[in-house]
Amino acid sequence: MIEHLELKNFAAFKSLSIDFSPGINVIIGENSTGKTHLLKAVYGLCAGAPLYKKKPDTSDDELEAALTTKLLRLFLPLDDKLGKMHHQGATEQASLSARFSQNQKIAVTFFKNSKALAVQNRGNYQQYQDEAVFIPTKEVLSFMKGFNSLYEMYELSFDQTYQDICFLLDLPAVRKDTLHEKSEWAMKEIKGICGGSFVFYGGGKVTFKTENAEYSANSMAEGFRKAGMLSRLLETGAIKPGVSGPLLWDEPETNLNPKLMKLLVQIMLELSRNGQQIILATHDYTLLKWLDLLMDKGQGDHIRFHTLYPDENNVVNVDSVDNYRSITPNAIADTFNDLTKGQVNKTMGGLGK
Amino acid sequence: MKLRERDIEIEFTGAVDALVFDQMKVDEPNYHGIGEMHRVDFVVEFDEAIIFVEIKDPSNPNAQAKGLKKFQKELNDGTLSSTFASKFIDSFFYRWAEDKLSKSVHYLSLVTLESALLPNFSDEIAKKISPAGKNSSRWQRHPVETCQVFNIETWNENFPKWPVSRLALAAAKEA
Repeated sequence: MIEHLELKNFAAFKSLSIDFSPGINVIIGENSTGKTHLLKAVYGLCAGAPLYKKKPDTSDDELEAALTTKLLRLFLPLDDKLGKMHHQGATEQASLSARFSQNQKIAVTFFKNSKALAVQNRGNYQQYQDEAVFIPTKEVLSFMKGFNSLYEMYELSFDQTYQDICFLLDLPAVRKDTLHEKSEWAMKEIKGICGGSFVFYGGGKVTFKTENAEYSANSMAEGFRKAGMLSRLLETGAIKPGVSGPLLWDEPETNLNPKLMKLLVQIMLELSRNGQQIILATHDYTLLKWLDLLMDKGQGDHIRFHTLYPDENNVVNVDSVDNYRSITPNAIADTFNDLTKGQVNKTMGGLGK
Repeated sequence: MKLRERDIEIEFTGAVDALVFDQMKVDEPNYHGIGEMHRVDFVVEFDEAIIFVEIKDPSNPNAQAKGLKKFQKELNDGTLSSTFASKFIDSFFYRWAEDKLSKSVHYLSLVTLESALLPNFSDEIAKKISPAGKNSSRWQRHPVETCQVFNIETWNENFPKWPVSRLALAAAKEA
């Protein structure tokens, strides 16, 4: 679980400091305020977990090389250069640092001309074992077949979150007796609403099976494919409440029918109640509102809303609040206000002004 | 001209006439007198247009739990938008009978809900004002030019000349 993140002179951020909730974190903000960058920065800094799992005696050099590659593949900067991720106009070095729940820390820096990240602090980082999961904006079930091989061989214009998610979806299912009770519940709910479930044969081959028939995954609604991704991540144990690292989800609403949103929020809340930290970025009012309506403090629910917004100098700041109604500025609500303004201007002209 | 509905007060700068339309006290000016008809709260006339105003204030700090529950239920089941539509239609009919409808009419409601809920609620009312959302090609005039719901913030943003204030808040500030 990540507790704190600091970004300086990195990507969209001049200086940003965020305290995360152990429950659900919702990042909102207009386009170009860095929501996806923030999710990717967290994901990148969590990349040590699989590294140390595979090789507990990973050296600093190896860590630096692995984190450098990870960031480059996540952010796809121009010409594959680290320096292109340096915040525009900044002169000092860029730095990214995170603190996790057992006081494990990682801090890395780079200059405009750096070829690799420099690890400045990795206090207990080798003990950080909670692998993060990043669900990108687009669903992947429709193009999973062969994607991993293609990704390895060619320079595709997909960032690495797509390769990682395809890899996780293709893992075998965990044994039934180790499946978390809430994961099983969520999978059943998703199956109920989709009228069947996706079957993963390995190598990226995915079909959709109902009681009586089997179909191509591509013939299913995009929203179902997105829900199917969540179901599969639970089935493989990539997301296991209380065990897995943060679930980073970029715009869960994309491709999703608003009617699926309530179930999605119910699932997120249940996972969170069982120890799953979630950090999501959204533009969607329905998602925000369901979170607000379904959260139950009595059950220990904790949701923190982080608003990214540019100040008068166009520097991105963050405002974090624990109450939906305190969100300012709220780009999503502002959109609705603009609709009202548009209607009034169209039919009332200067009346009342 | 200032008009007041419970805790909400609106100053209609530049109005040529402003009345509490739903006045049911017989000895007050502009007594309505027909309890069977639905009534908007205010009717305000300007040189160029007439506005009908309906106010509902679920965010009133003194709102009672029972009333709020009823409000939420009616909002969810569509009764509230039907009532808002009926208020407009009956008030329109009444003002026509008074021969006071010579200008364009705008129906502006003030409902203290969060702003994201308002555009959809506005559309719901608008659909019910003109039967099935349709207008006849024979009509020479549109019964309602604007049908829009605001909260205090969006009202003040859109109508700086007609500021809304909450009386309890103003009183607290003075104290």
